[in-house]
Amino acid sequence: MSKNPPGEALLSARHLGKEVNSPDGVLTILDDVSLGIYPGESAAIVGPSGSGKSTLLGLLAGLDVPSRGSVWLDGLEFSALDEDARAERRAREIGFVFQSFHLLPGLTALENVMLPLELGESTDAERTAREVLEAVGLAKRANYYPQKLSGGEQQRVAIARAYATRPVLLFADEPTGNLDAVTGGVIIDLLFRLNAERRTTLVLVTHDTELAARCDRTLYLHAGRLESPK
Amino acid sequence: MTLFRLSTRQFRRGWKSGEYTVMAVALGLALAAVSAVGFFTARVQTAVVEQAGESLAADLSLRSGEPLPAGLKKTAMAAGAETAEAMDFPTVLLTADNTQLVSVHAVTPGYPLRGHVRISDVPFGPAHTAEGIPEPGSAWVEPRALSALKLKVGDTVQVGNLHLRIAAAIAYLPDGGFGFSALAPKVVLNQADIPASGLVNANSRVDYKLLVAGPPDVITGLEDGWRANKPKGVRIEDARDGRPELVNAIDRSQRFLALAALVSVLISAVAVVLSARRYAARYTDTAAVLKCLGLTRRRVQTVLLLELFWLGLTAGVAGVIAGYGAQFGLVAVLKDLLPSSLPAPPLTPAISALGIGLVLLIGFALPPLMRLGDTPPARVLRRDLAPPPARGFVIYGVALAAVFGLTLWQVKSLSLSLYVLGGLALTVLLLGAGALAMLALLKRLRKRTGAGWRYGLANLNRHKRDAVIQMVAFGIGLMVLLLLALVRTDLLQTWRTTLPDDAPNEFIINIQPTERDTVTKFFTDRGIAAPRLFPITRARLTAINGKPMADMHLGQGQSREMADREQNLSWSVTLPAGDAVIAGHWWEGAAAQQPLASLEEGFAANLGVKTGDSLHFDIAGEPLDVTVSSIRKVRWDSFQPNFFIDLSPGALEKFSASWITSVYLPPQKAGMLGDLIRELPSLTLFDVDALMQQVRHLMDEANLAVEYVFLFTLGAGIVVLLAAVQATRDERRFEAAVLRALGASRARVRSAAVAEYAALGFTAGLLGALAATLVAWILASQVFSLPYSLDWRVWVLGLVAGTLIVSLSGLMATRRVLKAPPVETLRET
Repeated sequence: MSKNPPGEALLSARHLGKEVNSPDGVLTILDDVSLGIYPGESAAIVGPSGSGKSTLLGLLAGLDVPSRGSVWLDGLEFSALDEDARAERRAREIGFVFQSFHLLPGLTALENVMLPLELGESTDAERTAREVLEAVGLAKRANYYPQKLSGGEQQRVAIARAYATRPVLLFADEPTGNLDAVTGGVIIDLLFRLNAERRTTLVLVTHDTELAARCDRTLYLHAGRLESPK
Repeated sequence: MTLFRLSTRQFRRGWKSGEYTVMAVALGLALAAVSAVGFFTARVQTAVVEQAGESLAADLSLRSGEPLPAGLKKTAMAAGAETAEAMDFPTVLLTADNTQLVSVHAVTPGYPLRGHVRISDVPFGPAHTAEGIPEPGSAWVEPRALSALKLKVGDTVQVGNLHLRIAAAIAYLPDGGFGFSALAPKVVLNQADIPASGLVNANSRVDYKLLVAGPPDVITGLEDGWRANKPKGVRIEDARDGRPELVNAIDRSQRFLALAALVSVLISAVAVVLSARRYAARYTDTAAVLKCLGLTRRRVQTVLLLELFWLGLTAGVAGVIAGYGAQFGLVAVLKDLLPSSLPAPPLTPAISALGIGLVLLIGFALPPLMRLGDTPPARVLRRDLAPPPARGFVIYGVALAAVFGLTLWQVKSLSLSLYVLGGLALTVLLLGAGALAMLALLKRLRKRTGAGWRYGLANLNRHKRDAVIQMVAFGIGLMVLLLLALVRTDLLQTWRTTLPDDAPNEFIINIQPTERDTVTKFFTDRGIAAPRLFPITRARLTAINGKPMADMHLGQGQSREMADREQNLSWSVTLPAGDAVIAGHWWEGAAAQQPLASLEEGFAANLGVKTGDSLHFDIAGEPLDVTVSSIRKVRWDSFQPNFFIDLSPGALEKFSASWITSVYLPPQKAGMLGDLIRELPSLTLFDVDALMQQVRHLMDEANLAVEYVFLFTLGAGIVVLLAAVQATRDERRFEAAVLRALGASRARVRSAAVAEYAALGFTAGLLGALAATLVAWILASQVFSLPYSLDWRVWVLGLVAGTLIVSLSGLMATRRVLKAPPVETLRET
């Protein structure tokens, strides 16, 4: 099922390990994970609950730092940067879609989409944001606050926000986890359509095998270790 | 720019959704209290400064207890200055059936040389500037005296031998003074009327003034000349001196009111901390998302700082506007103690109040918010990740620094700040301990109550820290108000009951030696025991043990005032009743013919005088040396004439004296004094009851003003409650939903809330009443040496007010929690 695209990996993990302190002693969440994600591909990370999927996503996206090993983004050791430097790279190159949407409750749909554009000092943030909202079919709800939108609508705003800055890399964490099956299907179609249109590299965490099947490649995580593809 | 926009958007939304309400109200309330006091005192200060230039009604004023030498006036006129003269003395206005103590201001044409007198035809009616001075045979009278005697403009009133037509009501006298310094209402008359009035004779207490005004160089020349060669017994005042005693009094009251406002600020600070914590908790997700979207730690903090700034500005400006409105209340409450017209307040108190708001936010809201910058961005994936807890010493250190800074800022004295904070810390500790004890008691009690009450009381113990904070905050507010409203009047009442029923209530002064028998006969004729008459001779203390007073280091306080003022000397063969010698011996037998003195203990201590020391007096130019033979403890509230300095008969008998006495007249016989005055017009009467009432009236006003400021404290207590309720709102909603889902009726859930708040308020009231009683007991037994009796009203009012206020506010705050359908709540979480 997986293919091995030619050329240099956009994002790679080398011998990643993550341990946390718990009441029962040190807990290993990830153990010696190495992988490469290539420009333009879509990869799904699947595995049962507690297998370390979200932790891996956090490390790959620079939201957290590994206990061992390293993450490389575009030929640079991402995990060696300090938090602020990682934040700046995230702002420029990375987009996110989360299970629980994470829209800012104080901002309207439009303002939520404008936010990353403005943070990147974009000159026409509002026009761009309206275009992306149009693309996700929410132009008419631009001035609604998140709590006035349905779950599906909120996720569409989140997708618009993620794509607005034209990131090279997009991380999605269980994007349909909080949605019913029909709405989930619509969201997935939207995610893949925009991904194809904008040639974004997509890394998706899910335990939905159907969703994983739509990706170019699937990585199986089990008890903190990558398993060879079945 | 982006961060700026983001912060304004977040702020607008937060404001609309009520997220900021509690913090804003806390801040606004604190600033309203501070700025109300600030605006008010600034207005009074400006008035005093503005009027200082005309407070003498002249550029220079020469004063003496004796008629001023004619040479002074000639010198002034020769130099090209204008002059006018004034005589000030107390006397009694008489109508057919009433008497009223007044202060006569008898002036010559030309008065006032600076400023204008404003008069009106109707008391408190529209005033106009007076032309000249009252015609001979007429008087201008202050409205207070008119209303006391039920007189109106145009009526006739008797002063001494004169029957004067009341030509106008006084609206403003430039040299009229105000506050406690103007206790007796003023009557302005023409000095030409004085000789015929019979009011003034050799021993009368008259303050003679020569008023001088002119071009600055003329005045400077005259003043330098007079100061260099000071005529004996003459005091020189110039308008540049301002009114140091007034400035002092205002300074003191400003500090006191500022202190009252400070308590509101500190209690509001508790609400700010509570609501900032909740805000920080709710903002954590947003901070994580912002960081995930690429915002650095510093930029997240900048957004938060900006939001806090918007909040501070909005709530601060609202608070200052409210404070501006509230100061009108203070002015209204204190109207009799204030100058008649106050200028508009300057802007500075607003700026200083906003500064205090800034300190409040930085000290109490900033530390919990700033740590949000350290929120791990991975929280967007795992909700259990939270920012590292702020270090204790940072939070407490910053808060403590803020508390200290605010106190110092408000009371402007390091030692007073330390006292205030020490006292407050002690109160908080005591009330806190009491609150903990009550919580433990309630915990036991809850086993004996129904399910609703059990749950409510359990809630209090579960949020123990919050409960203690709320109980203490409310307890302090209630304590202060109980002290002011009840305990103060209690103490005064108790003191009055310790006085004998026949304690003298009328003082008669200015009795001439030739009039002594008439006075005695007057009373015996009417079946009243002849009162004892005491001689008084006025003297100036010039040296102690040969050292001139001018060279003594007494500082500028009370000791200096005591040393500089004219002393009333009396003499007596026997130790006055009620007095006790605590050092040395009272003169007996032949010793009474030696020049000896007996001093009141406080007076002696202030001047640093012991028995055996020698005192040198100047009595109308004649020297007198005496040796201190004893120190006395004086019972001032005996209402007998009491003296700081009693001399032996041998020392004083040869000097001329006027006599003074006090009598008790039952109310139905008080009218007879009018006849005495008609017989002996130069006597002056002091009606102790009327004076006490007057003083009490002014004290009540001052007290009301302080109570008014402390109302903000109670408001701050309510805001603390709201903040605490808000901090646990999500938890409460969830629990209420679970209870309802388990089948509890809405009434049951409400009764749990009622139980919780009623217990909270009851405890706060109990602590407030307890603390007020304790303070009252300490004041009564340790400070005033009065018997203390428990006042049940303190307890009833404390408990009822505490329970009601807290229950109602608590129920209001949780109304929405109780109303929310449980399904909705459970689905959300």
